[in-house]
Amino acid sequence: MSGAIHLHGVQKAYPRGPVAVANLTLEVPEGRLLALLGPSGCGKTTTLRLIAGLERPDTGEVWIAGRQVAGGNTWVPPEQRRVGLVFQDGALFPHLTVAENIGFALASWPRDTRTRRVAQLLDLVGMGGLEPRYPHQLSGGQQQRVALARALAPHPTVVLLDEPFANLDATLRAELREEVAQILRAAGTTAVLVTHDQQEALSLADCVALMLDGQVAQSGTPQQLYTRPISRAVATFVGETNWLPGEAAGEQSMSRLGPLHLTMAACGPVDLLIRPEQIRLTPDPASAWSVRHVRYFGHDQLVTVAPDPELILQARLSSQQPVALGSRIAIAICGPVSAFPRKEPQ
Amino acid sequence: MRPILRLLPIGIALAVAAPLLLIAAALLRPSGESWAHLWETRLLEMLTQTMLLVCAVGLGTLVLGTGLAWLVSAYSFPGRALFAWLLVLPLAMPGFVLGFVFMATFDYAGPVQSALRAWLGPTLWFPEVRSLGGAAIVLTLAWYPYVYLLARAAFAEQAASTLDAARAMGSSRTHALFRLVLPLARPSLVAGVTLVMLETLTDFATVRYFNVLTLSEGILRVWEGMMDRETATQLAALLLLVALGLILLERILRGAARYTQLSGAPRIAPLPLHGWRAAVATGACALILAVAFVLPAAQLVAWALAEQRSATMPTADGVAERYIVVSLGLAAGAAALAALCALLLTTGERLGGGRVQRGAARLATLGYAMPGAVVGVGVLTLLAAFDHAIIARGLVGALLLTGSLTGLFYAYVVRFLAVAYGSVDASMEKVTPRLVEAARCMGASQGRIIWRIHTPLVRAGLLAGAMLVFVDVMKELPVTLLLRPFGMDTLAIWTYMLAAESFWQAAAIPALIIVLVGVLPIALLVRTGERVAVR
Amino acid sequence: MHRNASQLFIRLFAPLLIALLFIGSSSPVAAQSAPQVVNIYSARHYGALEPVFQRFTQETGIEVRLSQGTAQSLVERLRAEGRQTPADILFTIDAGGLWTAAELGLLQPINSAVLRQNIPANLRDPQNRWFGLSQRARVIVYNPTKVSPTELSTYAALGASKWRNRLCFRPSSHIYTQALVSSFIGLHGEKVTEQQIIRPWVRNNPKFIDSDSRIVETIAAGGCDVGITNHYYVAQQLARNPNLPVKVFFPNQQESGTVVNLSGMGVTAAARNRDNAIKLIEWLSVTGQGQGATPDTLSGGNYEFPANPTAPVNPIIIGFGPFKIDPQPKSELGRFQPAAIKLLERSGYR
Repeated sequence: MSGAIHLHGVQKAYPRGPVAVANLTLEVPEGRLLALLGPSGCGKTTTLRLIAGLERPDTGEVWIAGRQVAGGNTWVPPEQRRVGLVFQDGALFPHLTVAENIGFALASWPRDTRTRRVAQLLDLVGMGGLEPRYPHQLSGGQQQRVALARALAPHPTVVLLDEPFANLDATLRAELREEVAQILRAAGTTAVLVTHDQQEALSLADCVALMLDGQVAQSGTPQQLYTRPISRAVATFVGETNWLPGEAAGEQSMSRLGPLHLTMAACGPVDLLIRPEQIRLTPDPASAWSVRHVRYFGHDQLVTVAPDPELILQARLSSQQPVALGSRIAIAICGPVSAFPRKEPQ
Repeated sequence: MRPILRLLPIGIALAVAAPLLLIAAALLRPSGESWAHLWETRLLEMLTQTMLLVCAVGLGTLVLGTGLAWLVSAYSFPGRALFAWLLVLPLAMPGFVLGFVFMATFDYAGPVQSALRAWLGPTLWFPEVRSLGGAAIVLTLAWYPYVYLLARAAFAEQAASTLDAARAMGSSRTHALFRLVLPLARPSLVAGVTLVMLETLTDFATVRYFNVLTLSEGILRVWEGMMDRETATQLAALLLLVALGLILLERILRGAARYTQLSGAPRIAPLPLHGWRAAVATGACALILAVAFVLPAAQLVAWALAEQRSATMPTADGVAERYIVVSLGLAAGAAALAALCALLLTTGERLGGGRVQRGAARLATLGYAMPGAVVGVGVLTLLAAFDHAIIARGLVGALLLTGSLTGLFYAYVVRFLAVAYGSVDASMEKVTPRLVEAARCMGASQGRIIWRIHTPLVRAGLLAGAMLVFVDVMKELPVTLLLRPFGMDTLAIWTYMLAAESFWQAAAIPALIIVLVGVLPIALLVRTGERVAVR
Repeated sequence: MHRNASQLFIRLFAPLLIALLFIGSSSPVAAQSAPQVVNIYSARHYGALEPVFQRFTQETGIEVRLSQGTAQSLVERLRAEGRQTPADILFTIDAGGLWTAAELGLLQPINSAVLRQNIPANLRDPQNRWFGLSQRARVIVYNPTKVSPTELSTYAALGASKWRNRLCFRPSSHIYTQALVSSFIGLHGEKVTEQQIIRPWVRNNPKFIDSDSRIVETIAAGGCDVGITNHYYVAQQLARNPNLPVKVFFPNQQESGTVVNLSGMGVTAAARNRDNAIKLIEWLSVTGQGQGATPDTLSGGNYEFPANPTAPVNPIIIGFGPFKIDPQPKSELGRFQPAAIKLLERSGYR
């Protein structure tokens, strides 16, 4: 239990609203990057603010680096928690230069040490030499880099990032998040990244915690969440889904696509989760399945196939494999699939 | 949050609202006889005249201010850039100065009618100047800049893309103006007109010249003439209700918009005007400016020169200088104090304050909606009670607060805090909660946050607010009359007293000084384009 | 900038506030620290400091300080200040103001042989709390090219229908009107005043102009033919322009006489510089000092009639002719002022 960040049984309700976070238990191992993933309103930003100390939990405990900072009669205000915070819009001080922004937390340091640290951080984020600029003279991406440098300046125990790439365009976003992840890893800082973008979470983080309705629905490695989701909701959020009704018996199941191997043993009527990239198509004139629609994405294509209008599957194929609209194809599934007990129609 | 920073706003708000609450409480103590008399004879008339005047001036400034703002924003014609900011200058002239200049110029015995009679014969008909109409015209000319400024800002922020979209769909500029731009600018326009209406409601010096019996005038009559402070206080409470009603109406009509920039370069591409159209545009601006500022100022200068030559009112050496020093000193002190209180109120609100702090801020800004005389009476009563209480206990031997500088500054803050607050509050928008949170996470204490984050970012707003209060105090009459320390007469009082006896020549010099001192801050404000609150 | 900024701020602010409280509350201290002063609450606004006071200071070395305001606001302030008022003298332009102040206990009786000798009994308070120093008659002013003096007689006669749309009056808000009507009530009672004077006036649709001198100017320009003003406004205008077509008519000469108000002083009940105050009032009552016809006297500077019967009178106002003054005690000008105001409002007098 000696994770860098530890929340136990935390609850937070806002005065005029529903409960934002309920009975939340979360652990972030030291030196790791955890992605807090979830739809808007699921409580992930509240969780971040609880860790930072900008909100006080109604019940439960919060521990950072082995020290209790909230819970019971303990309360450590944010000024004293040594937590770095990067906001969605950067929140740089508009009236201070880049150097002054980064050095803000270092006011008590001797001048030369401070200047050196600022220069070091600017190099780290790839903006060396831009000390005298003002925030309004920087682009969006540059502002976020400065915000990160500012958060890292005082050697914080933990860095929290609240959807920091949401305001950037797609290419910049992809580029910047890679860099940020590298910087954080290089610095060995424990970090929590809040995002609603599952691609971001899966690609960057060491661990992912998916939050739904104020609770952690599942936490684990990206692979675990993607290939072994513990609920439909998790499955749907974390990636694209195809659902196929079937009958499970142990680690095998039967469905319209034939026998399929399951990730976990199950019994009885189930709905099978098939990821689009698991579907393989081969031309087969005798098959009941035909190609209904093809959407081209450049690097891949999404092919909609169906035997009849009631059952539709979407497959992700390499765009190198030409598929003709209307052609008959046979379907094969690659890898095990997850099974969820079927809900009886009421 | 440090307790003192949480309590200070509440403390300030209570201190500022206390005199007003005292007055509001008067409504609970009906004093039958005077009320009955008032009701029979004058109350109805007071209410009607007040409503008529308020609506007339509101409408007048709406049309004039918006029209001029649109002219200056959407079209280009000779002199446009200059007029754009010159048209704000009438704010520097106190309403009552404009009133008596107008009166002296246009009434029967004045130069205009005399010249017309000489030219066209003695049976010429001329509209009666001493009337509601006359008052409405003068007040419209004095206060249209409020609406003008806000309308211009609204047009600058919104109009460009709206106009383009409208024209792409085939509508003319005029059509787009009425169907799109004006409705979009509604929040700013409503706010501007409300400000003007509140000023009209609380004015007493100007309407006196025009024989218009408004509520404010009525309060003064009852109080002065009948020495009936009780009824006067109740009338004042009634006025407070009307003012609150106006403010409420404004909030409903305005919707969500809160702040606008004072002057941005209009992003509309102005349509160039040629020929007679350009002449009309330039002429209209010149005419308004002339009537509202240049001609009155010229008249004042002419009187001042005549006074220098004939010296009908000899003044002792050094008296004029003393008036100037006192006026400047009081205005500067009040401005600084109001700015400080505004800063404390706004930071208290934002640094973790809840509804209480916000309510406190609202409360603290009520003084602006009250006539100065009422604020003066309230403060005087409060201070006198306090002083007599501590004297009775033998703590001090003489008057401590009544008739003291502290008391006067207190009253100024009660009256004008809203002005400074609005400006600082608008600037505070720059200090988003994110900024404060970022600073906190970096270990900054409350004080450091106020000093390093809030103050620099709102410095411009603080300055703008202070300048507005400065100009207001320079022009202020009733509060100063009631509460100033012995021998501390101001330029405004001096002007008013002389004008009351129709010694216009002698009154011109101090009036001119007030105008000159006011022009500078106003010009500065418009040029720097600082944000001004829309309440 | 350090974390101590907030503490510094607080530590500066609190003592600053306390210091401000003490520095700011200085009124009586300042008033007393000068060598020899007399402090006057003055409702008289004929310039920042009239020459007569400058002469007084030259002759006696006592500095005169004025704080101006309307009579009502000054009385209000005196009431609020009570025993701690910095004012030594209340100086008004209307007997009513002095009477009201005296009734409220704000003025103290002065036992002065000089004043008793110089100021006639009907121009001072029977209890010696206030003393009139100059007189101002409320007269009828007319345009001689339009009106012959034989058409004029009394105040009430202006209610006759032939004066319809030809009158100019001061509004009811001003103390001169209130004092005049108060005098009427004292002489004839409310009913007669209302029915036979004020209501007929109102029926003639007078123009209301809030300035006596403007009334004179309007009459001269032809805007109205007849008005009621204080006599000295006419004198001021005639002094500047002797050819102005306005003349003065003293009303009620066949009846009790013209109503004459006074401008006077009283020593406040709590005056600190009591002796200086008495000195000033006494000085102002002496012919050749405060009383006289020259601009450096109180009455002369403003074309008023002096209170001291031995003092010379300005030739311009002598030229208005001799007239009978209504002997009614001046207290009546103040006693019925509240009733006068209500009466005026009831009658529709603006």
